[in-house]
Amino acid sequence: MNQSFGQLIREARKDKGFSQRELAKLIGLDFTYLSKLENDRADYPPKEDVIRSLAQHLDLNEEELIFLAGRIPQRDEDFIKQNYKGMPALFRRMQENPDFAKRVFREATQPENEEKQG
Amino acid sequence: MSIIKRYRYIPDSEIEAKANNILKRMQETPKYIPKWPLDATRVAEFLGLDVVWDRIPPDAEGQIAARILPLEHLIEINEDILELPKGFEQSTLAHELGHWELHIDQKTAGQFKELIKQGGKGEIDMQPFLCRAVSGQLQKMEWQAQRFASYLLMPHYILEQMAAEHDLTKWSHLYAMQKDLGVTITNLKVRLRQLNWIILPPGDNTIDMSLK
Repeated sequence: MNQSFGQLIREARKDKGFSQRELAKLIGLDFTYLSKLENDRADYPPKEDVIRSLAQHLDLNEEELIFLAGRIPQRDEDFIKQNYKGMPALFRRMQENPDFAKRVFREATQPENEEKQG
Repeated sequence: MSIIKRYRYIPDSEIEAKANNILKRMQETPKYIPKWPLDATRVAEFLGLDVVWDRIPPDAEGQIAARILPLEHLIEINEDILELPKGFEQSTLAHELGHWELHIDQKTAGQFKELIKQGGKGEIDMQPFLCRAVSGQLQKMEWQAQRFASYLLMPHYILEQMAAEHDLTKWSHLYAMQKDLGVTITNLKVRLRQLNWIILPPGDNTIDMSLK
């Protein structure tokens, strides 16, 4: 089963041996907010720079963590704005047709996978 | 079947041994070696419990300082207690750990979790374990949890080390110890009196005697 944003950062923090307070201090967050994030109880997702900082301290993939938090990286946000007309149809089709979505993801990550293998 | 054990008398020595045993096991686990002031959230995580600081609204019986959700292995601490004097938060969390160790039937909680996975939710009482001022047998359980917190945050061997460097007849030294231990001054006074290391006549703020 896929982990939520909270579960992922909580497990990564424990693996690194940080306490909630220690990590919160490093990131410049309130530890009570971090505890809510870890339990998927926060009223709002953290800002992109906070997520990037979390990812850096926890050795997680920054971009993936931003998406998992329900945000879109600024760079991609600009791309979406430029192509805003096609986006609703694209997302709808991907939701309705899992095979199509898989194909899109496969093709989108192919160059990255090849880079990793190469 | 209940997740909460029935009240039983637990000798102080047993409560202290339980707290010491946890500290000893943490000492043997590189990621969790205890440091003072002790961060009780690290103890919670060592015991497999997660901690969240959140709003816990009062119910018909009043304020709730904290509660344990045994099936979720989660301790919720009321954010409001951060407004109280420093040290209170560690004491509250350590107190909850006392309930977890002394009063929650962890084996039954595990069985309930399994039952829920299989869809048998109806027969299970999943009420969280609440912490607040109570009376009767529950009051005795609160007292046991508080003793556990005291032993966990102020173990004998740490107090001995600190007492060797401080004059227990001086308030300034006691406040310095309190800071190093991360507890409230009341927590420390109660613990030192229990050890007969200080004697404080009721209502008198003069420390009459130090036996150390």
